[in-house]
Amino acid sequence: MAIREKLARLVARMHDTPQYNAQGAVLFVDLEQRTFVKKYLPLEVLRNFLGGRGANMWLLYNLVEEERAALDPEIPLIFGAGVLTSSMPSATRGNITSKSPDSYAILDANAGDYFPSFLRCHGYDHVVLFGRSPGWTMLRISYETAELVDAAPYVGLNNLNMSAAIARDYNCVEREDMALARITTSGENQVLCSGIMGGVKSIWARGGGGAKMGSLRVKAIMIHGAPKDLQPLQPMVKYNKVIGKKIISTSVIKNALKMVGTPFLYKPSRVLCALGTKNNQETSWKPTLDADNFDPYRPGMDGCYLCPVHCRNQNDLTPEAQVGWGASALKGLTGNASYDKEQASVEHGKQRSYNGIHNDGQYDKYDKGDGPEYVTLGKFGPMIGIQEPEQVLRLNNILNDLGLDSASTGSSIAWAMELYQRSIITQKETGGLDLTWGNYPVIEQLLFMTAKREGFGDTIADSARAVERGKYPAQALDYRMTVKGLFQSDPHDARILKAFALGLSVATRGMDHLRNRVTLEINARINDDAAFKTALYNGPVSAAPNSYEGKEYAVRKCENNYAVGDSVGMCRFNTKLFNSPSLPDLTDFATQIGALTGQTFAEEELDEVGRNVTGIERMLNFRFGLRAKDDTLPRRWFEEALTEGPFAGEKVDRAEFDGMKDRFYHLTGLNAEGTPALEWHEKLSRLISGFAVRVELPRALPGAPEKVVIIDENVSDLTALRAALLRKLPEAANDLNDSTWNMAVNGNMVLSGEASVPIASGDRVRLVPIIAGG
Amino acid sequence: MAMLITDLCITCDVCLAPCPNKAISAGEDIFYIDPAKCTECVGHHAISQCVKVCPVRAIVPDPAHRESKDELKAKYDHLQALKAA
Repeated sequence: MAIREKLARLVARMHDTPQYNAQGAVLFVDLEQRTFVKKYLPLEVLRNFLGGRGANMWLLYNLVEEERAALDPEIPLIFGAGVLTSSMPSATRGNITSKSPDSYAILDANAGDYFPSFLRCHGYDHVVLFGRSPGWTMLRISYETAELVDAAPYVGLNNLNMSAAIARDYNCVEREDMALARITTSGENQVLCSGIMGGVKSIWARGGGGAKMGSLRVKAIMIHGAPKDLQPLQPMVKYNKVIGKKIISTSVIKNALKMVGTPFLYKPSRVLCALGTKNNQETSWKPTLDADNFDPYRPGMDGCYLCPVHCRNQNDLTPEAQVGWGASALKGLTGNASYDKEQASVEHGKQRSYNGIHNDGQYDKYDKGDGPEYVTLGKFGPMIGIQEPEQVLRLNNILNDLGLDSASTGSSIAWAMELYQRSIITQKETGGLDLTWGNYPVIEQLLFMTAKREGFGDTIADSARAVERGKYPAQALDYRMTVKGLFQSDPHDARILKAFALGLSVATRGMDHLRNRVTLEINARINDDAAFKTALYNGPVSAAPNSYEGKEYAVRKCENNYAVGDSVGMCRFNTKLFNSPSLPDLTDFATQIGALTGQTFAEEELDEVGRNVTGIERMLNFRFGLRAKDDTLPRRWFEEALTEGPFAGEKVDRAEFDGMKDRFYHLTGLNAEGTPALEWHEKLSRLISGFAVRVELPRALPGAPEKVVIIDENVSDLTALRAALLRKLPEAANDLNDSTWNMAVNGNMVLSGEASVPIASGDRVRLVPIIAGG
Repeated sequence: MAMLITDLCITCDVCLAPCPNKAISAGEDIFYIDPAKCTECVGHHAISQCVKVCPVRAIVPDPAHRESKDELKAKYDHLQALKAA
């Protein structure tokens, strides 16, 4: 069924007016036919999936055809803001959702800055794009107005120039009366590791959103006009103060994030010897990239809409820069170096030494910018052998302008460098580029080539899919640091921290720490208080970082908390369990959801919503062909032990890992294929598609370990149900096509005329092998 | 009129840096705007920067310091002259 038919069925289940206070609309945009439909989601979506990421998944599930390729224009790209986005301190975020062209899983990326808040304030919770625009277009939204305007004049512009051009042409100022989600040349060229930019640095990074938006020929979405509150915020005001105080009084926020931003995390990973280095062949790197080495280039901090933290460290390498913000802020913070406390007092006394990238006193636009985050620092530092902070800053600024996901792009380059080191590729394949570790001029050049898909840049642009696109031999897969086809986000090498490792393996969008990272696994104060830790994670979790015991509880609880955080629009850094146990939690979110929407939630209900969101994501991944075997880790982490540091010799034991994963499945309510088990699956199916038919199988089949399958595609007759069953379980096609397997509907055997046998939600179907007699 | 920081203030300090007139400082319990220095960003920006960034919407027009746009512009010119002197 094509997307327009699916859409027609979907909007018939939606509403013309808001179903609760402060609900925003869903705007469906058919880019090919240039038509708009505006509807409101049913209340049960809020009750079971909230908004943002959760409701995005609900929309995707109802609209996606799993057999289509990710860049097919009938696969939608969905923008969504959280329920509390723009209404609560640090609730600034929104997600984009689709099928990923970069990985084999869902595409789901989260970003803040001002766009998600502006979207909400203009009255929209979600924008759904599909169809390929005949020419390059920009969607302009201004309250009741939505129009597609010609974007041809903007084609070829990268991030900084694109924002400036829109500000010039529409006489507006970004973040005052305009917010812009835009792609750069890398998105136009469908670079698989390209993101969608939401500001100077803000990016929906993971999964290839830039390529997806480029495939639809959408250059930008512009929200035009100063934001207005959806409704008076008076009921939220007093408790917003409580939440704001909670955030800024948390020590990691106050002492680290507000002062230097996320690069403070570099030192703890370095001290632990758990820093992904040279494509994770090593795990230790230079102290030259400790956060204090950036002090001479840090003029200040910036932040997202209505956030009290402002964690975004800015950089300025030019001689006239007024710098020094956050200088020495980390000195003496022992929590930042828990495995070698003497490191807490170590400062490098770094002085400004930059004289232009060619040391000739010449500066350009890439000598100033926002960032880096710890991810960029790790991926464009140790991962590719760079040790000078000035080089990392410059690469960071180039990445921001080119709209590249630093995690996937850095990993793609690191992968190429290891292949080059091992002579699996040579200068014949690289077009003469010398991919020696740390070769800065080549790396800078390669970024621009990647955005243009020029020369060897075309290989980097194919990201983790370079083998299947014929760029590398199959042998290269042995060194690809991915899960579900997505390169790791976090620079942290998780061979030591087993909850971290489990999280990376089961994360629904691939190898990414932001879905479930158990940061506090290494917090000594928490590990010393078993009762506190048990309460924190709803179960006993071993205090030993490298133990496998109980880690499933920690990952499960983090997945729930973070899924809810994304669905209300809360920043991960300010959500309980990511950085601290004292940050805003589900009870805080429930209080403000109630104040804003009038809908009451208990903490346990929100916890269940978190599980639901990951449940629907697993159901989507199942439709995309992922199974339990894909919840795994790169080969290297199972087979190669760490060679240095306090945990030298550590790796991931396969049997222990499998046991931990099984316990996680059981705790979560998943079957042996990693998808929601029968009762939960049926419940979710009814909530998502409004349709669920149980199909009992004669025996367990590949992909169906429970001998029962839920069909949640709204089929009208038995023939259509057979087809849906084959789509659901392609690996069981031989059995399902067995002509000796008949069907019984609600106990009545059907021997002929399946096309005329109607099927309705709630029916029970059995596949019955014919028993030959005689 | 000048802007006023109410007792909703959480002292997060994000209003300090964007203030073009350096009119904001830390008070005993909450932050404080010097009405003699506040032009509501007239002369600098289309909208008040402190209002734009305050995460708890604690900043409102100060009823005790009502000024027209012209008066705010005159205040801006005066502050600029002091700065240049």
